[in-house]
This record gives sequence, C-alpha cells and structure tokens, in this order.
Amino acid sequence: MITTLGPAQFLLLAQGLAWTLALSAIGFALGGLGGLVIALARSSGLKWLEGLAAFFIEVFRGTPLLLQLFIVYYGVGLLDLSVSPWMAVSIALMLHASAFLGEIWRGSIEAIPAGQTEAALALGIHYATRMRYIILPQALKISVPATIGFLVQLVKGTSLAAIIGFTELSRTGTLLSNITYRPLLIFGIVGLAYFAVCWPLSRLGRAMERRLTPAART
Amino acid sequence: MSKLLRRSVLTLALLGLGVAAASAQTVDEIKKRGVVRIGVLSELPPWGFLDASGNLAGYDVDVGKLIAEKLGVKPEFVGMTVAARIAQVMTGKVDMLLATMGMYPDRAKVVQFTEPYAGLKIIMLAKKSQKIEKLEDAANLRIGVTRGSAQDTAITAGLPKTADIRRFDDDSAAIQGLITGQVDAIGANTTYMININKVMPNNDFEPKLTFNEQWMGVATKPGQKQLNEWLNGFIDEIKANGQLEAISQKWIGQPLPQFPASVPGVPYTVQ
Repeated sequence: MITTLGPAQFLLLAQGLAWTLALSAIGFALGGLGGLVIALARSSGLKWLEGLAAFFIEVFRGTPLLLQLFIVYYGVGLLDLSVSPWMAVSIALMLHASAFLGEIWRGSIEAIPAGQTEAALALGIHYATRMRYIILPQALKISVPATIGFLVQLVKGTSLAAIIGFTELSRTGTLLSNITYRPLLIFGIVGLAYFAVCWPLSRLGRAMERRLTPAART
Repeated sequence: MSKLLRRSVLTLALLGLGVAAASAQTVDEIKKRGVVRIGVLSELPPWGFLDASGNLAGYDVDVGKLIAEKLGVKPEFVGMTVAARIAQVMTGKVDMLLATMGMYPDRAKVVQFTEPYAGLKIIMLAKKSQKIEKLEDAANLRIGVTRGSAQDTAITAGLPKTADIRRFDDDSAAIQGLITGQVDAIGANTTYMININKVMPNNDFEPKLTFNEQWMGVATKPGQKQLNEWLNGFIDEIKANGQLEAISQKWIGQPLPQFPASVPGVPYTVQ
C-alpha cells in the first residue's frame, strides 16, 4: 500500500506511455502499408479485387478491435500455434488500421477527378507511374484530416491491448489505482497523458493540411 | 509493396518468438540455474504490490525471499494479475506462484497447492451505522463485489436473485464504490481494512459478516513431487522458527492464524 505518488510511480506511468506510443506506431506503420494495399485494391477497377477488399474492410471495420485482439491472441492459440503478445497485437492492429485507412484512402483516391486518369492513359503513362506521381500525391492532401483523426483514435484504441497482457498507459493506471486506492487522481493523470499525445497530433494534422494545400488557404 | 509487407510481418514474427523459459521440474534444477522464478501479484497490497520505489513487495514477496535464501539461489519476482497467474505457472514462465491464491477445489484440479502459508477471511464491509447482522439484512442494499472473487461467490449464493449486486473489475473499484457511496456494502477480505485505514484514517467502515476463511498456498505445476515436498518442508520450518510470524506481523499486523490440517478438496501433496 502506498499513499503518495513519487518518482517511481511516474516512471511506471512513463513506461506505460512508451508502450502506448510503441503500439500506436506499430499499428500505424503496419496499418499504413496494409491500408495502401487495400485502398489500391479497392480502386483497382478489377471487380473481384474490389469485392475482396470491400469484404475485408467491412469485416474489420464492423467488428470491435477488442474482439479482433482476443481472436488473434487466444483463438489462434487454440489451433496449437503459439502467438506471442507482440505478434498478436501487431497482426490485430494491422488488420484494424488497414481496414480503416484503406477506406479513408480509397475515398481520397476516388476524389481525384477521373479526367486525370484518362489524360494519363491517353499519354501512355501506366499504372505504377500514374499512381505514384499523379494520383497518390493529390489523394494524400485530401486524406490528411481523416487519417490524423484515425491516428488519434488508434492511440486511444491501443488501451485494449491490455487484455492480452500489455501494461500500457491505461493498464498502468489501473495497476497504480489498485495500489494507491486513488483512482480519480491516477486516471486524471492518465487522461492528461493521452491528451498530451493526441492534441499535438491534431495540431500536426492541421499544420500538414495547411502546408500541403497553400492555394486553398489564401 | 506486398513483399515489403511480408518482410515486415516476418521480422515482427521473429521478434515475437521469444524463447519460452522451460520451468524447472525439480529443486536441483532450480539450484543449478541459480535463480528461482516466483510469480506474485503486482497490485494487491499488502500481499504483493509495487511499493513506493517501484519494486515488488509484500507478504508473498517476503516469503519468496525466504524460499530463495533457503535454496541458496537468487529470487526473480514476476509481477502478474489475478487473471494471468495460473497460465503463467502452467506455461512454465515461473516455477511457482505466491500469488495470494486461495486454496479452492476447482483450482486444485489445475495446479498443485502446498500447505497454507497465509490466510484471510472473506467478509462484508459497511458503514458502522448500517445494520447488518446476518446476510439477509443486506438483501435490500446495493452491494459491491469484485467480479469472480471469493466474496462474489459467497454473497451471490447467499442472497436472493433480486438482490442488487454490483460487480466491479477490481478491488480498488469496489472500495471506491463504497467510499463514494455508490454501494452500501462490499464483499471484502480482512486486508481491505488495512488499506482503507491507510488511505482514509478517519473512515467509519467496519467488518460486518464473515463468510469463510480462505487459505493461501504455494502453487506449482501438478506432478512436481520433489518441489512440492521441499516447499511443504520449508513452510513447516518458517512456521516453527517464527519467520512467518514476523512476516504476518509486518504486513498484516496480526499473529498467524491457526492453520488447518487439511482443506476440503485441496490436497497439500502430490497424489
């Protein structure tokens, strides 16, 4: 039993915050890769591929992240395959983020006027070049607000990783509140820590938007 | 792109494949390794918790230190949650649990207990002014319990289905419910009062009913005969030489209870 918060308790909270940031980074990096694949598949023009990507999006956007984490960690474990918590959390966050980012980015890609694709085709510019140099740079600008919005959600969503044993920020809060019996104080601090991460992200998003679309802001 | 994706997943897979430490089957193997891995709770004061300096401390940890001393090895304490403790010992992440684990028949089917080294009482706590002399007096009150705890079982079994039993995720949430008046009484154990008195020295809560006594033993994987025998011998020894009494006084502020010769449905030795 301890009744006051000292350096050791703040160190624990800092470690929890580090886990939260690491989980968010993994989710965003892997989800970004997966999301790009999904977005490209979803706007590829190939019926079967679009259908497949749409199915993937609906499944992982329509089920809770908590459930996905649970199934990947415990469900796969039942098949006699050993999944480490890191592996499980990486897979689940990737699937979750891929679905959301894929759909956000599909929207952005499709928002680019079809005339640009037609013009590129007329000039004989093929798919990879067209996407890389014409469509995606413009789509990126459009997608920034929604992407940042999702990233903020993802940071908070990583608290669910506690169910497979990660002592991230929220879990650290529970632990300290069990030791000190001061939940309001502890969760107040935890809330502030989340805010301290998410608020700069929102600011960054706004700054990026402004930088990427100077013309529209004048 | 998909190649990159595959490569990153593969890299993560390799990172994730931590080598699972094989648990020692015998006392000799622990001695040879030079380290005994002991699972304790990290958030249940005064039994096992992270103290002010962030180290694991408590009744269970002190008993664990004596085990290591007696074995002549270094203790390595692994903090864990109530929910994860059985999985941790069954998968060999730790050699034994000193995790405030009550000796109940359903658990004894899964793990091997030793004889008890600690005990507490499952009770009901409420304000002094609240009249509760028998469980039926609480039938119309809002009662908080920690979900799935021994007190949850006792109170749920003793009250009619219409009773307003509110289940909280952990002890501190249940206690907070009592302090803030969201519930009138809580199912508790005897060590709650020690903690509440520390946080709120002038509270007016008192124990009302006693449901049952709970005994805690050291839990190992089943079938580890040598380790179980060694531990039983060790517990007899620290009970006899006063070391366990000192630990009880230090953390609980009470003398050791009269330990039972047997707990129904929970064998102390490997059958």
